[in-house]
Amino acid sequence: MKHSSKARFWYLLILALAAYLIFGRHVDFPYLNVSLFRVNVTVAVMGLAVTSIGIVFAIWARRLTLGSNWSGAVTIKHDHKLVQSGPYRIVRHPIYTGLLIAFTGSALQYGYLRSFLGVLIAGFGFWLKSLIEEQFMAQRFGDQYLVYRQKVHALVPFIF
Amino acid sequence: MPYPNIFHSVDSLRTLTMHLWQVLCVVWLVSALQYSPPW
Repeated sequence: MKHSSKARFWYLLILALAAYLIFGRHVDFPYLNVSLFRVNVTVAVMGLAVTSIGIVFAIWARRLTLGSNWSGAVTIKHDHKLVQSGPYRIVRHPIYTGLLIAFTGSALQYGYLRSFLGVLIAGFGFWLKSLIEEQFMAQRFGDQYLVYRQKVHALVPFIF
Repeated sequence: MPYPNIFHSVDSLRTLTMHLWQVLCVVWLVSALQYSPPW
């Protein structure tokens, strides 16, 4: 069971736009290139630390916990298990949370309005994809997933 | 013995961060091939 390639295309397009806004060297929208604060070495080190935490968190969720359950496309596999341990105790979509933390760290290092807009757009893309994933998970695991969804927030611990 | 100080400028820290993103991409690619090989 897989979600449509159209939905995947839009998701990847949203992520590409977010990455362009965060990392792009030449973004031709002057009003988006406004600096929100001065980036000095201290801020850049903080950005590096935040990015590292996010990347480690995403890899932890991806490799150590999810293992063969993972797929780039939203898919229910034959032997799919509902993982609720490790980072999945903290949020329901820890890979997206980790990537959002890492994007935020990188945005800190640039300090542009567009960089933080990119983080918001990435968050919107992850939220959309998580909605599709959760439909699949609810179908596959039923009440077990609904109980898990009530206990654990989707992307931001204790908030959202 | 002197060693390169990566914390001396914002640019070098940005470069180091980009390397971290590259590591993430490699880990992702390896995992994708490991669990869903295209062959």
